[in-house]
Amino acid sequence: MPHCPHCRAALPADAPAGLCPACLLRRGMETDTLQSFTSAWTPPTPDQLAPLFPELEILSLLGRGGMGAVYKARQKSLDRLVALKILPPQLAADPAFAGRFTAEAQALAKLNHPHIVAIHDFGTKSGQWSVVSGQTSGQSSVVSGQTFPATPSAPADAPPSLTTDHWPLPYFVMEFIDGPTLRQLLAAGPIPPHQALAIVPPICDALQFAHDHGIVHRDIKPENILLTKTGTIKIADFGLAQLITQDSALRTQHSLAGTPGYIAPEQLRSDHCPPTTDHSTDHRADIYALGVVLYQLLTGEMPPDPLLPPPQKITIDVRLDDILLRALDADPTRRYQHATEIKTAIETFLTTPRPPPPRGGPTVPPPSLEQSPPNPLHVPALGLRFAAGINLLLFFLYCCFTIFVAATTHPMIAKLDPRSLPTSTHSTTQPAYIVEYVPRHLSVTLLPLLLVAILGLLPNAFVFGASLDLARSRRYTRCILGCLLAFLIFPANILAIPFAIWSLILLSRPAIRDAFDRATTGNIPTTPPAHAASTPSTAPNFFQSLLSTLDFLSAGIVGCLVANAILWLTGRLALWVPIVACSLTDALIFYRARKIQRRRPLPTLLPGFPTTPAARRSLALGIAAHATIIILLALIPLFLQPHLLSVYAVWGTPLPAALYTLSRVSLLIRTTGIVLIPFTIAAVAGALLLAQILGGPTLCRILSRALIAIYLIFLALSLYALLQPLSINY
Amino acid sequence: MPITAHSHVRFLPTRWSLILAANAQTPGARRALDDLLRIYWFPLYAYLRRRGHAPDQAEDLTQGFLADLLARSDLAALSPAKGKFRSFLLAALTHFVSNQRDHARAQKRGGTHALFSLHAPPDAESRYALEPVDTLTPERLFERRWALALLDQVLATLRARYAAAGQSALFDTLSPLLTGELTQPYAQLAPTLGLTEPALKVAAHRLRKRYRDTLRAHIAATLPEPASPAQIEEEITHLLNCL
Repeated sequence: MPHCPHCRAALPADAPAGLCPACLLRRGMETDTLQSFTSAWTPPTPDQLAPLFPELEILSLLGRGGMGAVYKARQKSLDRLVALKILPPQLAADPAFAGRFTAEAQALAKLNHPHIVAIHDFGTKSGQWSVVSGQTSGQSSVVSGQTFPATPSAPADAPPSLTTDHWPLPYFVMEFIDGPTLRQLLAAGPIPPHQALAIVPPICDALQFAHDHGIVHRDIKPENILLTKTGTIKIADFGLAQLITQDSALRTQHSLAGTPGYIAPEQLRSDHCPPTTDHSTDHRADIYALGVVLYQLLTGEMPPDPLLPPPQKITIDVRLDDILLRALDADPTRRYQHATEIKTAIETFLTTPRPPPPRGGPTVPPPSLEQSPPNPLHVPALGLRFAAGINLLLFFLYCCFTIFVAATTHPMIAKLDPRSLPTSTHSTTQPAYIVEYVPRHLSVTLLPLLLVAILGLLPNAFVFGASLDLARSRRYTRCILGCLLAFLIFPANILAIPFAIWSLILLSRPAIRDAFDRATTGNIPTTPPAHAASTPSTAPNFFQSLLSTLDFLSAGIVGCLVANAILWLTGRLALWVPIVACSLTDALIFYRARKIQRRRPLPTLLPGFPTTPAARRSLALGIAAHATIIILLALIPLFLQPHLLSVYAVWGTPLPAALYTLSRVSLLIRTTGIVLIPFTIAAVAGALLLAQILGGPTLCRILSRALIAIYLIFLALSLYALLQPLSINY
Repeated sequence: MPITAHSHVRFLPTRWSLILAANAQTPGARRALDDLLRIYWFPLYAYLRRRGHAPDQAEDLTQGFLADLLARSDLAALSPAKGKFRSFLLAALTHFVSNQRDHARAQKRGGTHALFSLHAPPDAESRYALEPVDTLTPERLFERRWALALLDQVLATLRARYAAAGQSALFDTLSPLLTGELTQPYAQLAPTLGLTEPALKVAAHRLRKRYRDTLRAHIAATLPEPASPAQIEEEITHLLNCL
């Protein structure tokens, strides 16, 4: 009868495709270990083992795997719980095993580390013990794994008459860990990232310790990582994979130590290499397996294909991706060279908001492209900066030129020529002349200049600033806006447009975007894990925080809307209401912003709410500017409007002057349609504030400034409108 | 032609719970159920034979049972979420056989019923003759045959996938890897398949992975929804014990 070359069991006559059905089924198990030949062996029951271990009270079978079976036992002499691990007796068929087993066990016993399961005792029992067969396969009471030949290539048709009960039984007595394995934890549900990251550093410590002692685990997987009830991590089965696969009888059959999915690519490549030339697998295989475990902890899934890293998934942070990429590198020389490097990388990730690129080993080339020194955005950024710089210079020259021309050619300004006055009833030296005419002519000459300067200088300055950000890979949105604005900045846009297109193409690449994200996320301090655990308590405050967010949004808009409604309903008398209302609501906003700034710890109001002090300060500043400008807007016309002043001077009393101002401004607003501006501004301000709150600190800073710029434009437009000559009888 | 994700989807069995949830009335669901039943025809037959039915009778009963199952309109009432397909089929078959016995008695008084061939493999009896003559109970035999039928189907599916990609030779060469190692080193095999040695190793690795995925998918198809990895492991362990 033919036998399975793998598990030595007799093949049934109708085995599927002539393959051993048991091995085929076992191959489907996730926890299948390649040397699962041992699983053809049925571990003895506690009762059967009891006579062999009189010093132990064997309580129950905890589990079995490719490496043997583990029992829970009580050591009678010390009255403590221990774990008894017995190895498959087939191992002992190799005469060299005993010596190697002793050497290996003594080496393992030296691994005295808080995160490694300690070995109390080891040995080989050779007493008589009966074996329960898992499968009869025609002949009764014989283990299917009985026919284990020393040379696996030999056909097993004529098995040696050796039964397992004559073979010695290798065993370890180990520390008993009363807790789940990482596999059980993973099966129970997703593990929060901060917890996952807390699990890995102790594993790194333990691995480093073992590697320093020259012991490679070779089978790091969630099943071998245990958690005690107090949450301490313990690694089990150190070196067992190697011990078993060094078995000369098994070597050619099972040259792979480890579990599919956790085996480093170089181990797969070195398949079938003779042991003497097999230098390619070392402790870095453990680092690869640890990378797989970390990937599994963070994503809940296995990496897509062990032969095809890198992981495509953005996990929690791009910096974590870097760690995973490097741990899972197919080339062991580009991998982390020591387990402690992973620990350092994770701890750096946890503690510093913007770490230096986690490059541990000096001999290791940087693995990822976007972190390499030449920034692809450098050249287009330089081009944009050059174009914007030229434009800024041109506008500056233009402004100077205009002022110079105005100053030298305009009679009103140049000489304050009395002949140009419409009425020559006043002397040019009289205050009334200065009060009445200088502002008017300034408005004619300088206001357009001011507008041009604002409209011209601001976009150019923005593009210039964006080009600086572009070179430093930060403030992604601002860079995009800057590139778009570069299309408009006449006349230098002829120069800027190619660079802008170039930059936009580069910016659309995911790798570049990742680099930006990395820089941006660095601005927000990462919450330490211990703190993160307590943050759920802020979750019930969602509505409260929503309300406070709405305050920001609504105050400006509602204030302006209500005020303008009143304005429309009551006409001129209520003109001051919108301005006062706006100022008051702005003051409220300012107050709220400062209050938020003072509160600690800061609640996360909405995703992306500016939580850094700098961002909140700029929010407060923006709103303060809003209030100031509106107040100025209310006051400046009083001083710039010569008629108002003259009336004031004539009438000499504040009240009639105020009444007159009201009627005058109200009329102006209604005749010029300026009343629409508060509506527009309120809407724009609301949208900006929303973007500010939702868009994070970078956008917040940009928009605070944009808000100021918009109010400056509004101010200019209002002034311009107010100063237009009107045919009003008064 | 590489095996694409698309072809992978096509080769996966439909979960029986989904079939039943569709009330087995739509043509698609009926065909999917038919496919699923086709895989497990022989375990049912072997079970009936071990129960003592003569070959003809066992074949008739199996066919009648499957025809009855396919014609039933109340499948959705069986609440598939609670049970495995394997247990369900066995229970339904037992029930059907006892009903059929009563029915047959009634038919002695004049009734006739036409039997038709449904899924009966021509070599059913010769295959049954291969069963080891031992003390396996009918239920145990059913489960053993079930495991073998499942593996047969998985290998056939996998082979079809490779054949669809024009890689039958590759599959045939590498399939021993599923239970052990190759008799010849990769370096010798690679040129015969027109591959480089690393490419062959990668192919071997993929074959193992695809095999595992296919097997698990087939097992999941017979489990109550949703089948967790732990449940699949449990079922594999159970089937292992049945061998």
